[in-house]
Amino acid sequence: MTFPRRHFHEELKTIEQELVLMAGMAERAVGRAVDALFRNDITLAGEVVAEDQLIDDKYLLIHEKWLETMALQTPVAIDLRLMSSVLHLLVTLERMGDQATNIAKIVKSIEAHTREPRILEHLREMGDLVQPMVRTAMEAFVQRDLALALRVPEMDEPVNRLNRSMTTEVARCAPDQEVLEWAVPMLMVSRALERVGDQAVDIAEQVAFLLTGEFQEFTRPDTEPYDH
Amino acid sequence: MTLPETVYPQGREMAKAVAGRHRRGTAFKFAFLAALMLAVVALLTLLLKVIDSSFGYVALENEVQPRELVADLGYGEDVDLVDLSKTELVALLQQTISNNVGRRLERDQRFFDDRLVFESEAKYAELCAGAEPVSGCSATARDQPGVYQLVVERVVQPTILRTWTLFESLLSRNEVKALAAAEFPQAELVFRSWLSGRFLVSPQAPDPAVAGVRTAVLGSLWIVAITLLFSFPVGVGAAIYLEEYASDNRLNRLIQTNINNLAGVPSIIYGMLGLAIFVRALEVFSSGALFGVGEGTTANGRTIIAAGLTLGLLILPIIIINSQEAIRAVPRSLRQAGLALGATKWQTTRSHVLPNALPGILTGTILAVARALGETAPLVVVGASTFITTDPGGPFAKFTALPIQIYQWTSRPQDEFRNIAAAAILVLLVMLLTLNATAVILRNRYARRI
Amino acid sequence: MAGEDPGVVITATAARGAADDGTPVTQAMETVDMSVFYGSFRAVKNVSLQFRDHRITALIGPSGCGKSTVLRAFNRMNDLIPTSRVEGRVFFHGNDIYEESVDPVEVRRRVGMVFQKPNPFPKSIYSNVAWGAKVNGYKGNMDDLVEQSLRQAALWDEVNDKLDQSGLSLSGGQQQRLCIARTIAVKPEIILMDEPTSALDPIATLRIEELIQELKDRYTIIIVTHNMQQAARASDFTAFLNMDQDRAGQVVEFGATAELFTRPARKETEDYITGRFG
Repeated sequence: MTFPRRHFHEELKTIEQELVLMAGMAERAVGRAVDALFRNDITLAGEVVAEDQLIDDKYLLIHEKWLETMALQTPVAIDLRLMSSVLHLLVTLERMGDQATNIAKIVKSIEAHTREPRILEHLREMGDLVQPMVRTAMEAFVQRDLALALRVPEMDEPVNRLNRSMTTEVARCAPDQEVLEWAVPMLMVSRALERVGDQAVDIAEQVAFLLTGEFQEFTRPDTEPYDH
Repeated sequence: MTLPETVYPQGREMAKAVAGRHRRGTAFKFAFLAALMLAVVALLTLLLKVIDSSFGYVALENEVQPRELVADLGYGEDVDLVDLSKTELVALLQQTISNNVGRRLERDQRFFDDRLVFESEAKYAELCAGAEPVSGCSATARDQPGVYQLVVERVVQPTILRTWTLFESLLSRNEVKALAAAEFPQAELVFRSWLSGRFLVSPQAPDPAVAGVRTAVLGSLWIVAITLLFSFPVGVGAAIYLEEYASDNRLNRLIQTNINNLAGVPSIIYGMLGLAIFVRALEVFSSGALFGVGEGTTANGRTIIAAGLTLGLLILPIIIINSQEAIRAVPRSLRQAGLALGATKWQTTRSHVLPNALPGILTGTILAVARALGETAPLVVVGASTFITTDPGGPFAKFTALPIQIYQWTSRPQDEFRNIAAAAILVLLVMLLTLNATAVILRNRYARRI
Repeated sequence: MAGEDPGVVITATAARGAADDGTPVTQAMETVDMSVFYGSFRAVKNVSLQFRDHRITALIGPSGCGKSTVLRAFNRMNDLIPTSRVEGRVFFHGNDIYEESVDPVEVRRRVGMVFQKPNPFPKSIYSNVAWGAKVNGYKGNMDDLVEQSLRQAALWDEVNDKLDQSGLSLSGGQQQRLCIARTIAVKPEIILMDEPTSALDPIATLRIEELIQELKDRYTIIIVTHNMQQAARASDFTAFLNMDQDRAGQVVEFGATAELFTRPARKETEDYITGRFG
């Protein structure tokens, strides 16, 4: 049985699929940037920077399709909310790719002669935490699973904790000038990873809006003294 | 699933098949054309036959030549007998006819309103005061064409020896002249238009040479007027009720069916109905006795009003059905628009439905009247007079009608009667055509507006 | 949350209570459990709706679901169909218009109607507007009334120099505005519109939608439309009607238009407005 707006709904599906691909690219970029950092792999870092172009291209492609669909199909109700959340996700994922690039650029710029293993561990842990967050949020989006989406803000808790403790860790490197020189940019890496976590939460918020029609800021446990 | 290519004929086979289909179509086209031609030929034949009989040479012998009469009075060549005044014509009559004949004529219809010519005032008054007054007491005086007709009839006394048809007169003119010279040496050969102005204004007369259709035409018009006065309001009113107010129940459907059937009843049955009701049962009314008017010869119900009402009943079902259709044709959206503004049903009907249905109603009414004009059988039954010479004086007068007159003239043996019958047919055709043309013009004008 | 509700008709809370500025909300018309029958066939079932004063309410739904039947029940035009029958109550300013003592003629003056296909009378433009007033016994200055009505219908500027020309000489959009003008002339309180623009071109359609917005200040408007975008553009409240298995129409959802088109409460509504029905 053909539905009256099959063409339109297939267009929506295409946009979703492209978005999922883009999310995969962004998530992988974050992972590879952290890998590059851990292994001090300059080449890998260079690849991450170069591949950001692909993410940007994807962004343009999806945005174009988005505009076209809005103009031609005048979506309403759930379709409208889907388009709204797609736009949010689009911007969020593009920024996520930028965060991965930031990390990779830091890897390329520093002389990693003396590295503090504890800091590296923290960063590794953070990387291992945020990647599943992104995956879960996107899974919730694709499956339209509200319960799944609601898990993501909880997963953000440890990431924030690790980020907060980073300042102390870096301060501890103070006596050794060389290590400190390396450690300070690590603060920025930590911040970038914490941002990715927040972006995953944003995605989950959009999923909730899509499904309920209500927009709710997900409460973040332990609000920071400074804003993100 | 796609259809295999070979399901339809291809290429040359297709061309042959299409040509065959065209041929069949053309054959039908010619068959229809032949039918049309047949109809046209039949109608043309009718028309030509009638025209043929309405004009032609006449071998005429006058007892007294009109020219002599005119010259005797001192007029020149430019004045004809027909141009003389009524007074002069009456004088001519007085010279010629006997007093007895004159008195009889005057008793049928006076010559002047203010004085008597052949009778003494006292005697005439006595006759009028009696139990059965003569027709001249109540009828209007004769007019100039009527007196002229009398003069021709009784002074000039034309005898028609032989008539020829139009085609004979035009095509074999020399033979006609030769024949007339040989067989009727005394007679004058005149080209005569039986259908002439004089024919139209002269009253009925026994002599075909002078008879005219005036009496019959006036009779027809009077009857049709009464028919219209009766059947239009009643018919349209009934149609309005049936279409706008009647609910769709068994009784109303029964009424509707009966009205539809009545439209197809043979007209002579209406004549019998009219005879029984209007002429006999309601004699008091239709003879005019109820109103103190009337001929007074016998309380006779065979009057114009009886004929008019009978024909009114005849065309009543037609008018009802036609008006119903015209009302039904008014789009429902117009009614809904009116009602939605808070108007009552009657306000909507009066302002929107009726004005829009009116062209259709009028067209149908005119056509129905044209039909009534041509009806003969019911009028015969109701009692059209076969011979009256006086114009109808009112609704309670005796009557004749044009179709009756034609019927009467065609049943006479003499040739001349055929001629004037043909002329009368032409008059009737012209009247009918005028009515039909009016109906068509009306319809077109209003159709363009909407 | 968009999901299945137990089959209860939802009445919008926005339709009751106070308006945004705190003024008390009045209802021009309200139906309670209204059903319309044609003979033994129930065309419309248990309709309970409230129509707020000076607001535009749209009725949407698939063909044959009874929207027009519902609309025609509000000015008793269904009475013209001999077999039709209305059950339930229809309140117009608190009075049931189907009570014995109520004259439908009076109802129709106060509840006007504009039809799908423009149907001006084949009379002059002036007469079109003046006729309704005349038959209702208007005693004031007719010229003023005609001008005022034509102005309110956004037609005055286009026709003031040809008032004696036939109403049928106007374009489709103008004819429809003329029909609106003549409805306005009898000073109704509610104007019912049965797919008023479905026979018009897009520009004429938009002009009439704009006009409806302007008319809101003076009248309450109930509009039936096939065109969902029109309902979305032009109305304040929307009721979605659908047929049940007996082919009787009923109200599935009723609420503020913005709500219904961004987050409808019933999945049935969402399926219809997004085109996900077979």
